Amino acid sequence: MGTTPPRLGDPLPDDVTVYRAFSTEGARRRPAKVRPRAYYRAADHTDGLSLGATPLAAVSQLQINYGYCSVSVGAIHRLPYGLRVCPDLDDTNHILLCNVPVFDGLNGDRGIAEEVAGALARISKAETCDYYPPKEKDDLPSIP
Amino acid sequence: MTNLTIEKDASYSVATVAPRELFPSVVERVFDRLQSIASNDALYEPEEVRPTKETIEWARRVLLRILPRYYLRMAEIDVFHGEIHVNWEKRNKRLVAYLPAPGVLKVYLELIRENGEVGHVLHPSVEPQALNSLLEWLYS
Repeated sequence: MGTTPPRLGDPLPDDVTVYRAFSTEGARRRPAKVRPRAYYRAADHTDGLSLGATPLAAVSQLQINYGYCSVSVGAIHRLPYGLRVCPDLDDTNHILLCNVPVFDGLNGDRGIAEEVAGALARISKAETCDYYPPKEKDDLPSIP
Repeated sequence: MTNLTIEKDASYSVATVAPRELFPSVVERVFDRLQSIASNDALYEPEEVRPTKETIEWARRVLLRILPRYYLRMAEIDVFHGEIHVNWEKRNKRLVAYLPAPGVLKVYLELIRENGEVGHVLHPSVEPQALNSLLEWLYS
């Protein structure tokens, strides 16, 4: 998302796996379930939903995350909603999920947005519901 | 005057509600989550608008009308840009109650058919008492 629309490449091949960060606790349910909330698109996400080429890329723009999920590009393209997974030509690790209906405040495409979000959640696999990457545990104190 | 007789094997239970109504911890969990929903930072993206206390109170009033209470057992409360959403999922059915503002209740129903086809209907204006019959559909 930004003021200048990103330059998008052609849709990625179907055999690629992409990653979506959980930006809120409500995007997933423990032990490992992706919830439709992970794919709600707010009106200010003008270009689409951000995905990453790697798990680290998916979470890199977030100050805090609640884990991430993986999803097959082919599975997304096979959904009957015209969704497309396109690379950001200016950032090799950034990918956009295009044509996701906006989850409008009061009118608009709320019904279809909810259906699409539910379908995306069902084809996604929660890889972790914890902060990623895992924080290193503090070392035990050594005797000086 | 009618004679009052007590049969030998009569039940003397004083319970006034059916056993299935007795889920106090479940009810408590749902309402505790609702009560603290505006202050739970983990539910929001940075700068995301939070539900007003009036919307939270409206959600509380709607959920209090849900009967039988065990319907609340599977309710998942979430937020999205100032709205409160209450989600239910059971087998191939899904129900989402949207509470975007005081006095407003919208309901989304979803059914995944055996061939994998997904159907949905969005009711843009629902009276709180009607939620019970929609939940009955979900649990049927």
